[in-house]
Amino acid sequence: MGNWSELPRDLLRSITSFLPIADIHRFSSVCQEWNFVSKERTHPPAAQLPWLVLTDHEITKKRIFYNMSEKKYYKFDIPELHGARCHGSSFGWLFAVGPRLETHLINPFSGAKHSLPRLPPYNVKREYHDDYLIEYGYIDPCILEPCIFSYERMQRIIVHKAILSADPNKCTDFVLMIMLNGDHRLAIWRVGDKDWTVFKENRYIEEITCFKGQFFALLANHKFATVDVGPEPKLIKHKQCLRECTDWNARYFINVSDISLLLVVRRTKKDENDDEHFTTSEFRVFELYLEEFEAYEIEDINGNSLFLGRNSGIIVPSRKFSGCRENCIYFSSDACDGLPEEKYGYDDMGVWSIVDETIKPLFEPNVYISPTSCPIWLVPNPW
Amino acid sequence: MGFPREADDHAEKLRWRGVPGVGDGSKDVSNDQQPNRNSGAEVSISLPSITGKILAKVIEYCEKHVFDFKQGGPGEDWDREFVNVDQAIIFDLIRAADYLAIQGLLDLTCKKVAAQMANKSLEEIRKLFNIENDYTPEEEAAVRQEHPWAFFD
Repeated sequence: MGNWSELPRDLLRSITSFLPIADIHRFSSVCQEWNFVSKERTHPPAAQLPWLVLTDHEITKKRIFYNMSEKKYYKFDIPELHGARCHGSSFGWLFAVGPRLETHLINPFSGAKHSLPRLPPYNVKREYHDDYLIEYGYIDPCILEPCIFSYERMQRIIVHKAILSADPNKCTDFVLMIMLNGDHRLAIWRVGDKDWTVFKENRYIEEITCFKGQFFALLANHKFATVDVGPEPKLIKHKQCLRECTDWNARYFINVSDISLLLVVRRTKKDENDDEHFTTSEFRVFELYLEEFEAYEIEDINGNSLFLGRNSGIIVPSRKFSGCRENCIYFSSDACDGLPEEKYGYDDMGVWSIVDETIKPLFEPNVYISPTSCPIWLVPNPW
Repeated sequence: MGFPREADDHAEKLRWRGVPGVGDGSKDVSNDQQPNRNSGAEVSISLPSITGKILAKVIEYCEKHVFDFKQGGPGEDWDREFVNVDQAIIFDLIRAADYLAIQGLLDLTCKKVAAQMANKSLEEIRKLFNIENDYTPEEEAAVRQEHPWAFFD
């Protein structure tokens, strides 16, 4: 037959444009010519459905990733992810907190990393001991009260969510914003900062997003705020909205390519057999109009699908991917407001149909996943 | 609308009538011979490197995609069946599509080749495409080590 090794480079490049990320790496190892072409990186990897970042493998301790399109597990040996909790996933980068509260921003598919400063204390100060932490805060204005936490508990609760303003692959002036747990105070970090900049205001924040380069926050009393990340970071409140969205347990913003903003609300219900165990029962989707700060419920999302959880919301054109159901919300577990995280975890995952209002299972894992783990969606962004 | 051709085993000349929406002719044809899409004029193009058999396949693709163009094309099932052929034919189709600048056929064949690499080990890929491994064992190990997660063999 024809000599494949003599295929001209421009045809090899065309072929690589259809290869998803795992296949590109295998392609690049076949022979030296194919390696040369793949390293040129003339195309990003062919898109697939978002991946799920699961837990450490029981024996090898490598991080298990699940590829929804291929229905395959892959194991990544990334030291910063050993025993780490991922509290954010944005532009293909993970925000991870390690067992001793070491904090990193990592791109698992490119290997790029940023080491981050120690997370700020909830209140006045934090002391690190061998087996526990002490948080100091003023309960009484004159008395500094200590409160003891285990590292394991603190690792799970310390950050509620983390998002990026821009793709760190493409720039270094991005802003990393986190919601600290407790009162969900905001803090930000930029490349080169030695410490986090913590917002002075003590306001319970429910959800944050970056839309057209501007950060927005949803506050506990259903108010919106614009977030100013200038030299004196602050929140600028707007009038009340989302009157219909009371009594929901979690809220998510989805940035639809900087064109429109969706708000999704999630409700959980108690298990019949366990008063403290909760699983998701329904979702509602709203389109936001920022000029008026109004939200209008919508009944379908134009044949797209959403991927929600601790990650920055992802929207996917379902028709481009076989096996992806239209007008559905693929959700992973997430700590709902005020509930003990150890009471639900990876079992709160599924696919919600916006049209039928039903939930179907996401997939049946055949690897061990710790019950308190929080699987998180990730869209590979290697270059 | 047809592609009248001089009957020959290695179709050396092809009378090409401009076909809207599908390719714009061979790369080697000089400007004054370029088929004008709407003119309907006949132009001769020589195709020294394409056999009659492959040309027949290319014409089949073009006719199907042109005639069904208004209905949005013949559909994915027809396309999938069209490239369900021997490796050697896919190779020739890629070369022909590139030479004749038929983007739809080029994309279809490249996508087929890419799909063939899914779930295969390196050795299986090398065998399927008859590629010689020009790495030493140490070199291959080093390349795999760049992204060890992607390999299952």
